[in-house]
Parts: sequence; C-alpha cells; structure tokens
Amino acid sequence: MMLKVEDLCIKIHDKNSTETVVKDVDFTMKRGDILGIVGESGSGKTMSALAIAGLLSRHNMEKSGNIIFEDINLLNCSRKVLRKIQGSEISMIFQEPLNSLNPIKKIGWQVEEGLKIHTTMERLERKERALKALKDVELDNPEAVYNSYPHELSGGMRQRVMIASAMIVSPKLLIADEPTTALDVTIQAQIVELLKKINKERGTAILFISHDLSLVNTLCENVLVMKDGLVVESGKCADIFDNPREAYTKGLIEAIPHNPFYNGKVI
Amino acid sequence: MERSKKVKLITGLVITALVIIMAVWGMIKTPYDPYSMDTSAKFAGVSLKHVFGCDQFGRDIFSRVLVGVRETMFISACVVFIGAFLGTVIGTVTGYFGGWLDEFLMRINDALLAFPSVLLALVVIGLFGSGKYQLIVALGIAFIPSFARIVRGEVLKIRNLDYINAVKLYGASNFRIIVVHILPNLKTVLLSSIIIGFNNAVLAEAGMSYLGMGVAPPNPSLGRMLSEAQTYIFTSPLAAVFPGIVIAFMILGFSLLGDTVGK
Amino acid sequence: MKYILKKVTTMLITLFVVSVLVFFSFSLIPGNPALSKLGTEATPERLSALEHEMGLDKPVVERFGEWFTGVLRGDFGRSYSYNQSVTSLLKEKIATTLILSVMAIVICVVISLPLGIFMARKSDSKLDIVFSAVNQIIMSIPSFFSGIILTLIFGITLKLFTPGAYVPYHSDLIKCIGYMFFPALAIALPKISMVSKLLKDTVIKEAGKEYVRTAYSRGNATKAVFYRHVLGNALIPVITFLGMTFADIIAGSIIVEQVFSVPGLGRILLTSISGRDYPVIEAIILLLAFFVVLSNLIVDLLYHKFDPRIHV
Repeated sequence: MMLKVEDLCIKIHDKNSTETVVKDVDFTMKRGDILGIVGESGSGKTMSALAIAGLLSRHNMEKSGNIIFEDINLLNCSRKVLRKIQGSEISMIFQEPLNSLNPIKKIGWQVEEGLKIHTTMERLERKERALKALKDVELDNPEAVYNSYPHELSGGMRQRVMIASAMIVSPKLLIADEPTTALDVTIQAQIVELLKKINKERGTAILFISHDLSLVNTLCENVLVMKDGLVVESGKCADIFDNPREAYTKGLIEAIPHNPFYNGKVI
Repeated sequence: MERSKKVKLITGLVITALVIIMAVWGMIKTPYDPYSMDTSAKFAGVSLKHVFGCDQFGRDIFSRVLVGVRETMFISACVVFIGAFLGTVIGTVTGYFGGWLDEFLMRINDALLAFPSVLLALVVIGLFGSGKYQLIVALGIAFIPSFARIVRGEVLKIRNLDYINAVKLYGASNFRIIVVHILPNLKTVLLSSIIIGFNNAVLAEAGMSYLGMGVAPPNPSLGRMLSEAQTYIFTSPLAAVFPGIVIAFMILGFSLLGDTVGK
Repeated sequence: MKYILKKVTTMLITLFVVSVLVFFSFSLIPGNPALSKLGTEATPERLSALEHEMGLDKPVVERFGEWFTGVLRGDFGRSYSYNQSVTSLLKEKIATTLILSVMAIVICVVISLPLGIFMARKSDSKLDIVFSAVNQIIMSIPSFFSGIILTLIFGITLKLFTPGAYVPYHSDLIKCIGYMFFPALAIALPKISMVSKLLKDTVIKEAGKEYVRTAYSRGNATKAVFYRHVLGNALIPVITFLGMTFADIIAGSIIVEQVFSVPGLGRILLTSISGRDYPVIEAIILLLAFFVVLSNLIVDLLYHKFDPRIHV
C-alpha cells in the first residue's frame, strides 16, 4: 500500500471548546489509484486531505491515528522528514487557484519552486522542465505563461498552472481539494479530463475531494462519502451511485442537477 | 469586540476625559494665576505647592499647562471644525456631481495631500503672519484636503447604491438626496476622521506653537512652554518635561480612540 | 517606461502648479516689500527707485515669468533681508536638511523593518502586549518632545553629545553625522513605531492567505515561506506608507532642527517668515515641494516594482 490512513481523528481546540472535525477515518490507496471523497462543506473531507498533505497547523489542533505514506507515519514524523515528502512525493492543488498562487511572483518562478527545494538542478534546466510542465497541462503558450503573473491569467489557466507546479516534481500522490469548484462548467470538464490523463500517463495516484458526486463519478473508481467527520459509506463509485445505502448519499445524488452533461455514466 | 480593542477604547476614553477635565479646569480657575511672576519661586522644583514646579519667571507650570491644554483644545476644535466642514462640502459636491469640477479640485486636493499639514500651515502663516487666529485659519486650511478625500470616497460609494437610483426615479432633487440620503450616511466615517483629525491637530498645533507660530506670549501654550523651557534645560529640565508629557498624553488619548472608533 | 514617463510628467505639473500658487499668493498679499525694507528712511523717490530695482513696478505676470525662468536656471532671486542671492544663501542649508532627512529615513527603515518582522513573530506571545503598548506611546510623542528627551538623556545626563554644538558638514562630515544622529532619531522614532506596527499587521494578515498554504505544500520550511512569499506581499502596503512618511520626515526635520539648533532650511524658513523675506520663503517652499514630490515619485516606482498588479 502506498497510503494507509488509520483511525484518523482531528480535534480543533478553540479558546473554550473542542470540536472534533474528523472521526476515525480509515482508507487505503495503491499507486495509480483515484479515490474520491465527497461530502458537504464541513463534513471533514478537506481537513482529512490537509492532514495527509501535512498542512494542518501544529497549534490548537490535536491529531491522532496514523497516516502511513510509504512506511513513514506523517502524523508523528519530524517537520524535516515531512518537508522532504511535501512537494516531492505528495503534491496538492486547491479550490481557489487565484488565491493559491502568490500574487507578486511570476508563474515560472512558482512552477519551478518545487524543483528549487527538492533538487539541485541549474536554473536553465529548471526552466526547461517548467516549460515542459506547462505544456503538459495543455497551456497554449508556455513561454508567455511562464513570464506572466497570476492576475494576468484566466481561472482555468491558473488551475492548470497549479497542476503543473504540483506535477513538476512527479509526485506519487496528487491531492486535489475541490479543484474545479471555482471554475466554469466547461472548464471543470477539461480539468477533470486533464487529471484523468495525468493519472493514466504518469501513474500518479489522485485523491479527489469534491462536494459533487457526479464529478467524482466521472473520474474516480472508488469513493468515500463523509458526513460530520465520519465516513458514512464507501466502495466502488458505480455501486454507490446506483444503489446508495445511506439517506445522506441519496440526498447528494438527488442534489445533482439533471443535466445530461453531468450525468455521464447514469444516462 | 476583542479584548485588546476594549482595553484601547477604555484607556482612550479615560485619557480624553482627563484632557477635557484639564481644559475645563483651565477655563474656570487655575490654582495660580498663570501670568503672575514670583521671583522667589524661580525654577522651583516639584512640590505640593507647585505640582509641576515653576518656570524661569516663577510662574506655576501646572496652571500654565491647564491654560495651555485649554488653548490647544480650542484651537484643535476650530481647526477640525473648519477642515471637517469645508472638507465635507467639497467632498460631497465633487463626489456627487463628478465632472470637470471634481477632476480639477481633486487634482489640487491630491497635490496638497502630499504635503504635511505643518508645511502647508507654515505657508499660510508666511502669508498672513503668526498668531492664534492666523494659526487656526492656517491649520484649518491644511486639514481640508484629507477630509475632502475621505468624504468624496464615501459619497461615491453611497451614490452608486441602488436605493439612491430608486429615489432619483421618484423625482427627488439633488439637494434633497444629498441632505436626506447621503449626509446622514457619512456619520461613521466622519466620526473616526474627526477623532484622527483631533490627534493630528493637537500634534500640529503643538508643533507650530513650539516654532513660535501660534499663541503669542505671554499667553501659555504647550508648544511654546516646551521651547522656552529648552533654553533653561541645563538648570531646570523638568520644566520642559511636563508640557511635553501632557502633549503626548493628549495625542495618545485621541490615537487610542481613533484606532477603535468606526472600524 | 510609459509609467515612469507619466509619473514624471505629473510630478512636473504639480511642481509648476505649486510655483504658480506660491508666487501669486506672495505677490498678492497686501504690503509693500520695498516700503518695509526702507522703513523710516522712505521717501517717495527712494521708494520708487527701490521698487524699480526690486522689479516691483512691473506687472505681476511678467514678474512671474522672470522669476520662473530664473528658478529653472537655479536662480531664486535676491533675499530682501540678507544682501545676497537666495541660491547662495540656501545652498548649505539644503545640504544640511537633506543629510538630516536622509539619516532619519535610513534610521526609520533600518530599525522598523526588522522590528516589525520580530513583532509579527512574537505576536502570539505575552511580549505582544508590551510591544503594542510601547509602540502606542512612542507614536504619541511628537518629534520635538522626543528630541528634548533625547537631549536630556544622551546630551545632558550621559554626555554622548553636546547640545547645540553643531558641526557643519563641510568642516567635518563624520562629526556632523555624529551630531545629527540624535536629531534624526528624534524624527524617526514615531515613524518607526508606525511602520513596524503596520508591517507586523500586514505580515500577520498575509500569513493567513492561501498562497502560504501552497508554499508549505511544496515543502518550504517556515523561514523560506516567510522570506520568499509572505514578506514581499506584506511590504507592499508598507511601501505606500513609507512614501507618505518621507514627506512627514522632511516636515519633521524643520521642527527638529529647531530643537537641536541645526542650521538647515527649517531655521531660515522661520526667520524668513518673521522677517517677511518672501523670495527666501518662496524658494524654500518650492524646494520642499520638490523633495516631497521626488520622494513620492521614488516610492511610486518602488511600488510599481514590488506589485506587478499595478498597471497605470
């Protein structure tokens, strides 16, 4: 197993209260898997993803259980070990590509940053790799994009840039936290296609977080349904879609608008 | 409200209240006549009789400070009033009507805004000479641009709200829209600008009177007391310290209030 | 390049407007400079002779034209009260004030930036309360009073410098800078607390933004996240504020020169105001305006360099 999450619990301590946002989450992923996690906002899906990426604050938060990635327990390893994995073995992309990019740095600089941290490559070689990464995410004019700033690009382009900067280090696991929510419907489909292609061609495992079950259905093989920090249902995507056991899951399916574009597999 | 904000607000209120008490005290009756000289008390130190000591003419510094606070508060209030009133008029008219007048006035406004108020006031004093009322006019004029800019920004925001358009559709006159719908909405932003204005006015007044461009001697003013005491700093350093502390105290009160009110 | 050109043009227009305003206001105020110069010795013949000599008999627009072309050549006319040209009178004072202002700016930047970063780092510790309180108090002390306090502490008690013993820069530059340190510090002190507080606030604000999370997800260490990502963004509002502060520092130096008996532009401005020496006042105002506008221009350009989102 590449990734094994066991009994993951996350508690947030406020000044005078403690809230458990993730309760006993268990799942595993093999290399090249695509796993979806669906749930409403506040269901704990993003928290779980951030925990795996090692991005949860070390203050005012209590984490228990195990997150074992390639035999290293990410929950109790040192920051130094974690940093070696972050951005080289595990990469992450986020919901708001504009806010997730540094507004005052050029795209090229940001795409290359992973290489700068994790390799000893020279500047020219890094640039070459960055241009290739930008081309791989199907950006038309990589050279121009390389020299522009985030605010000069469209939303879809920015998310492609985020994917390029995540993939430039060839990670084993890509965590995508609602990567299409902030985008137009047509752009959404393109990004999902791109992720599919990356998974197929490079064998990168993808953990895809979404509130949109139909989107998960078009991309993932397996899915976890989360509610209030608990996994309420899990299994093959198609099975759950056709035959949901939980009322909550049914609710999520019914919430999908009847748009032929959305319902890919259902029609 | 956060705790730190609460602490700031309360401290600011207490300090400002103390300042106002001092000003009122200076208006009614001071412990000693601030003008009477007593050669036997020349450079008298701090004592129960003279809590802040005496100056080079043996005048009671505490009494002079009280009158100085009164003068500073009076001048600052006039300055802020002139700045806020004319600034609001200019800001409202330019913001509401726009057009070439707005363009023209705001260009001048921005150019003036780039200059510190003490500099502008010195120019006006250079034109009209120094003195209490000249200082009020000078600083008042210097304070207009910042008020005009803030009010204009706020009016622009309000003018583009849907309900103003609705009122216009009903045929309300421009004058009515400004008086009934726009001016009342400026309350919050004006309140905080006035407090910050007081902060700056006290600072500017003290600076100008330190330079000898304010209240004429022998009338006490905090800034002038500082500069006079500086001459005797080797013999009687405390005479300079007390007026300075009172100036800083006044500014501290207003800046604490300005930090918390309206934000 | 286009941006710079536009900024320089606005700067020149502003300066022209200032010179028009200044010249006409001082020409239109009541009072005859020739008469006040002659005082009791005035006879109609001597008065008209002096008026002619001073060029006061020409129409005001013509006088402005002559004055303005002179200014462009660096000639500000003759002082009424000192029997020399304004330019030669002010030369040394300009350099003195510039040394003082530049030192104050340098002290302000050199202290407030590291201090602001340090305060942001300590923002969730108990030290934060102490910092905020001390900052608030220092902010409230006007520069002329902090100048007096510095004189008391470092001049009179510790005897680190002799109050009033100014050394001109052309006789000993090092000693001059040594003397100017405390005046410059007095000007800089309130600005230091303002700038460091602003930087602390913006660092904390930027540290909560999403791109910081991205930076961490790439494997950056905390220090690298701070210096490579957060700091640059946090400095943008600070630069704007510094721009306004530079103008304040120039004004502040006029007052603080008085505290430390530094014979700069401030002192001669004050004597000229009381002596109604209009050519000198006009020249000083124009010069100060030039410095203010120039520092604004520099800040604008810096701002442009730091924030790629600005395209004017």
